[in-house]
Amino acid sequence: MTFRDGALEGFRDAIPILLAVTPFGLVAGVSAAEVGLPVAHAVGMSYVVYAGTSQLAALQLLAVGSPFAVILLTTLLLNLRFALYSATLAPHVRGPAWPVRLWMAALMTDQSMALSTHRYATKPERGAKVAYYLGVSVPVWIVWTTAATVGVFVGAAVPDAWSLEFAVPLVFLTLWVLVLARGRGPVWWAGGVSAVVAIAARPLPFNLGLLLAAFAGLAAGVTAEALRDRRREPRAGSR
Amino acid sequence: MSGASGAAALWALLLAMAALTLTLRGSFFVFGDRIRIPPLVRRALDYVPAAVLAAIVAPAFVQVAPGEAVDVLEQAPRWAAGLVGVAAALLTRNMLVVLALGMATLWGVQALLG
Repeated sequence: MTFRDGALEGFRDAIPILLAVTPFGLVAGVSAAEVGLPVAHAVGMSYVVYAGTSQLAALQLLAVGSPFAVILLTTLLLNLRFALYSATLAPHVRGPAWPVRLWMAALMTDQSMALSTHRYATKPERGAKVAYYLGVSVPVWIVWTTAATVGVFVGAAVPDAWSLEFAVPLVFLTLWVLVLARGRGPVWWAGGVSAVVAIAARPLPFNLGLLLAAFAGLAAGVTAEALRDRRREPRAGSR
Repeated sequence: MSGASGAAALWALLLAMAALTLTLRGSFFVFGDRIRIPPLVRRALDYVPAAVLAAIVAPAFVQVAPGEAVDVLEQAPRWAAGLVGVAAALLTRNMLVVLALGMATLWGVQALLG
């Protein structure tokens, strides 16, 4: 399979995703404008960071006056998954020189990771793995950054009375509900404990409640998983 | 968030976010198998979305504090929008539908109480 064929296959598989990322990009742009970022920052954010969830989180935190350290820690937490994706995909994209690999990494999204790993696992004989990855990732980048740019100008034109900034928590609410709906016991523990701690710790200064809640949720999830596993295989062998 | 120093500081924040995110994305692409993720971190990563999203979402909808009176009239629009949002998310799994219904509920309840 040639590079061209691989890239076209990736593009075809990405078409439904392009439709799905358009509203998300728009929301990212609108939110940046609604929170009051200058236009250059609001547009630039989507190009240099290119990670919607962490961008919206940063905007929400900026809106409530969080210090930059808390925003960066939140970015780290929300984007840690990319290191995992990077580890998963790396064996398949060893061909190009490292600057090209770094550029490919910059285009990494949840969607490009999901499509690429599925295709590498189900159709390994087709090859052209780098081409496929780029065939998915480049169009997603173009569509998302364009939507975000349009969103900034749309958002700037919307009157404040519409409280469009409320769209940000609604987006996170959707993502959260979908994560919980997909998950099982330990995931519910992680989400539930974190929510309770976040509400209780909201009066803490510097938005520290967010980090406290996130780590409490992680601990709850890992603990619930460990307890579940111990219940499933009582005394499996002697350790 | 205004003024020249504010603008420069904001760029610094955005660039730091970008560098951090690129480091995470590029880690294994550039350095290959020379990095190891500790098993506990790998396990905890499964719960990052549920935990971090909850930490962002919950205080945006529920704003109560011990010893503080809860202003129900002020908060009711958010609660209503949140409940409608959860139901819409579970039923449709479509972010646009959730946004449309959630915002409509917010405006509706605000208008009713306003």
